Amino acid sequence: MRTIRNSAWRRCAALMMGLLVSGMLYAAGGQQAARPAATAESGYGTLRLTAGRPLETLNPHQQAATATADFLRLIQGKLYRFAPGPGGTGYQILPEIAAGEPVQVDDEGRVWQIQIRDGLQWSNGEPLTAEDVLYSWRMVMDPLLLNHRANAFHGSQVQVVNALAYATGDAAWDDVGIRLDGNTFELRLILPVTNFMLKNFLTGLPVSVVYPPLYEAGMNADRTQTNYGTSIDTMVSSGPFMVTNWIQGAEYTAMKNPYYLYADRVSLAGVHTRVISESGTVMQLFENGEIDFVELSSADFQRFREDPRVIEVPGRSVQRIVINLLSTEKPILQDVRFRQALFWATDRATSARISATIAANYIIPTTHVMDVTDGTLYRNTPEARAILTPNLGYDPQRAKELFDAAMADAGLDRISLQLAYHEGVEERRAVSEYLQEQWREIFGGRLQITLQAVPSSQLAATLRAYPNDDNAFELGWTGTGHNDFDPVSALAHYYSGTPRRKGPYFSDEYDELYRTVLQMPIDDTQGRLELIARAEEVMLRDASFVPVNQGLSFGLVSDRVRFATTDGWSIALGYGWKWAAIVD
Amino acid sequence: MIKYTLQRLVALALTLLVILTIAFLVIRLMPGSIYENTELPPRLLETMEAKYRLNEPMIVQYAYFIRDILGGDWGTSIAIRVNVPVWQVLYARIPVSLQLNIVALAIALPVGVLAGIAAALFQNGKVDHAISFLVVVFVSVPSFVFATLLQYTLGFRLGLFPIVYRASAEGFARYASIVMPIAALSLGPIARVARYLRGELIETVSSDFMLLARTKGLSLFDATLRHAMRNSLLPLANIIIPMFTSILTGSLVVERIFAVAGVGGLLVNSLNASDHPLTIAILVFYSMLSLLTILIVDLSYGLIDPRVRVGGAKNE
Repeated sequence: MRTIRNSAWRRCAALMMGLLVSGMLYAAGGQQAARPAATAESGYGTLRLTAGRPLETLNPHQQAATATADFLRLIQGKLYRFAPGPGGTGYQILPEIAAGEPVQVDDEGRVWQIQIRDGLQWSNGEPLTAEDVLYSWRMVMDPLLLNHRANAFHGSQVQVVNALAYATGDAAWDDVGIRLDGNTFELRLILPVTNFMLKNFLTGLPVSVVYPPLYEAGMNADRTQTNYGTSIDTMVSSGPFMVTNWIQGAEYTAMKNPYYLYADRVSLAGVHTRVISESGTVMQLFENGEIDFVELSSADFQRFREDPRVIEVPGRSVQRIVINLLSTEKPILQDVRFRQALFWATDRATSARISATIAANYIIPTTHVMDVTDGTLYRNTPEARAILTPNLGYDPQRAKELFDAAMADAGLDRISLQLAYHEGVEERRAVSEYLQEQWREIFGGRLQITLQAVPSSQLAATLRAYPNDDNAFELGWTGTGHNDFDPVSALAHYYSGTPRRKGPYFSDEYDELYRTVLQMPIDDTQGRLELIARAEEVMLRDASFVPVNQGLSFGLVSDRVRFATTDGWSIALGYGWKWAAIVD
Repeated sequence: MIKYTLQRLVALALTLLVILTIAFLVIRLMPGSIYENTELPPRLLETMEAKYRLNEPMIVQYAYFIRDILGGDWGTSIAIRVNVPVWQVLYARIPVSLQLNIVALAIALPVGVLAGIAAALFQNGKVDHAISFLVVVFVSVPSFVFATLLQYTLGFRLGLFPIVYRASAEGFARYASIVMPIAALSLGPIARVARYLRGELIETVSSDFMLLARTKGLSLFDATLRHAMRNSLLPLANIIIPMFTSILTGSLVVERIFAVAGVGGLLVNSLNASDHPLTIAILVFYSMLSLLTILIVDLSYGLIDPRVRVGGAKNE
């Protein structure tokens, strides 16, 4: 057999081998060295989870995504922390960095003192002091850094005096209502709060602690940026777990922190999270026994609905269709009868069935707690029940009458409207298509709905654009999450003085009710309840938006996981992974 | 050749400037704020946006943008990897994508060439029909469909390979976890190379010089390898180099399916998160890749076949 003389062939073959070998070398090489686990002897079993999005930071001052928040809750030390209640029922708020209960100094609840615990340690063994807490709080609202969470001390409930002015550079640090005397903080607030509200606020991630030496070491020259939390080497943990591995965009691991105050309550040895955005892939991993939890899609839920391992989790917001009542191109949207017609023409029961959600003819979701002393939910109170419309607010005949009256007065025979919905959210698309057809039938083809799929961030921006553009949108889906332990927070979004609202709503009556409830004594639960229910009723009557459904998700948990509470999931703890155990 | 190369490099720089300008305008004109935190008070939001000069007129923002880039400052990520320089974010992901694509290409080329030769040598025979059928399937079905099928059958049902890419695994476990993504990425290129080469070879085999080679006593196999293949290499180069770019683009979805932390998902994530500096860096990365590919293809003509060397006609 003749040899092949053509050297081009040999070069080609060499090139192929080179490509193959270099690719394999890439494959064999690690992307980032993992820090060896320091506490492998502590705890038992690793909880295996997935996240749809990669971690964007380990800096609690910059966190924005839900997946990141879930992980930071494992590793960040806080002044107070929600934990399972005694006997595995309910919940309690444990003082963690705080030494005990906050002390109310004035009569109204605007001045509070909190003592910091002695003897705490970071996960590297260094002492965690009150000065570290002070540094963390000052940095989160630093006017040069301007962190994503710079409003941490100016929330809807707890607003520290001059915190906002300091963050915007309009006040000095000495003017901010935070003082540290020895080991004791004094907080001066704009609005009065209860003991529970303050502790709940201090369970938040933005007000958790950062490790000052690394935070400072990571500062750039003009102190406008720090690289704190951009890798596992630029941060130190202080919570139940500590970060031991973070491969960018791929996976991250937290192992039990032996220095954590309540380490004896933590059963797990670690939590390992893989970043997987494809839901089908996650489902295969779960069925293969490679992960311990999967959030079921609508299709998968139908397959597992009878499975006792399925946990039902109500969403924290009501999905509603906002109506642009400022539209000059479609002035009929200003007619309350037309808007009410859309409300009554919405078959929420079917919509909920299509999307595996909860039918919602209300604004404030079922997750809101009215009375924290006994856990009474707002939606379960007689006042909240009394304002609900019959038949889940579905009355086609009434809808048609209202529609016909509004159209006649406007001199219109037909009208077409554009409904914008979240691109990529299958449930929203399905309900939108259903309503498109249903409304066309009920109104005899005189209402034509066209659908527009819009990315979530773009949709939010479009709904917020009404102050500058009367015709920014016609109809659009939205949902807004609130503080579960304060139904008043759900009202804030609709108050005309609230900035960056998703869609216009203007009502003097509503605004007055909102202002009144804010000024009521914070311990007058019944008085607040009546006003909240009245405000919700006014909103529903004005129909500037059509509530359709409340989100509902379904989690499937493997048999090797034992929850710390009997409920599995709760409003206060979520799934409470940090307190769970593995029972291989 | 040098002059031509320099001209092309200048054109490449100008093209990149146009791409940068368009990317800047498109991204800046998108509605919405870069801050997702809905509770930010307006005064604070204004202050925060001023930090990134978003309060300035567009032309001023553009001037700052170009000035920073010329100074080598492409900015830091503001949402995907907060406060990390954007190129650092990309550098962490590029090797992962390259690893898949280099190996996929290294497999696709020899297999595709062999399949093409086999199909041409056994033209209209069973082998040719079988290869042609597979070629049609592999060309017409997108790589993500193969990815899903492979994942479900070989990974989930049969358990032969890991269902997803294992970034933290080492040695054999890591090799095993990239088999399916590479297979999914290779099938399309294999088919394209085979189809292209088959067509070229069939045309060449029937030419006069091949008849001469056969009459000199060479077998069809030898004549094809020694004479026909060489003539078919030039047109093949036309598709091989751009194929690398297309595999890198096609790996976006495959990376997502197999949870590979490559460049793929970054662009979509950065767009959704309004991470403008990172989005622009990714767009520039892909643009550079395409522009360089085109440049290399053009220059490679001259290297592969001196007859088409640029400027050769003038020198003669």
